[in-house]
Amino acid sequence: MNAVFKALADPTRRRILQLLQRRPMTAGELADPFAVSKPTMSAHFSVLLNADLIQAEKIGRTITYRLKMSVLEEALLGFAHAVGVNVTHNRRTPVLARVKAKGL
Amino acid sequence: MKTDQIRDAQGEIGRGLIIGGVFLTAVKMLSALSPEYLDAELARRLQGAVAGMVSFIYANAVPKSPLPLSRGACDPKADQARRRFVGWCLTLGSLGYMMAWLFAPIESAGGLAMCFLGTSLLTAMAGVIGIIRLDSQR
Repeated sequence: MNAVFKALADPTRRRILQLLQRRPMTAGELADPFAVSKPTMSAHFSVLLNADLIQAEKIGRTITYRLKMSVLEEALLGFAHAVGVNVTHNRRTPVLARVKAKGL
Repeated sequence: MKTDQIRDAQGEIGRGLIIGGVFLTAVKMLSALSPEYLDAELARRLQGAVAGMVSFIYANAVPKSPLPLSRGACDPKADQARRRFVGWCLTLGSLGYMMAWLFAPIESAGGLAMCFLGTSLLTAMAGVIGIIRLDSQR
């Protein structure tokens, strides 16, 4: 459950989940609306995968991401979005902190 | 891949058996405790609430098990829309069922609970049919 809270605490990841609520999307389609580097996006994807909120399926050379949220998790996403929960810089996940430290 | 699917299926069956076992044990215990140790009305209410809880657990998990994309007939967008709609309908219906059993006057609790669950089931079915029709028109 901690992984779910951690995943939902970041606005970029919440936006990714909201995009996936419409339909399954490829990694490229999901990265388009964000002005962040590919490694940062990959780190966000891995946090969401780790929390079991999304599912990745590789068909050919394309990875398609799909929503894998229970009803309660979706309600939690809505709540976090409405309240505007946000992580502070020093509380970022280790993966994102590593990416940021490398300056990617 | 196939081994993973078998493991997932086995896990699901195991979980189902555990939940079923816990549900039956809880109902049996409540029946045994009533009326000597537990008020008959309270026992009835708790039995209804436990049934609602089981339904809630399953409904909550409906959107969390999407079909694999590799399956030929799977339209991922429609599959996701159907599962989310059914999941939300049944979860809210189950919640209403539980609340009705817990808080409504005992004479009308059963009927009200069934109204909640029945309405959510009918809405879910109508929604799924609507999504399928919409999908086939495209």
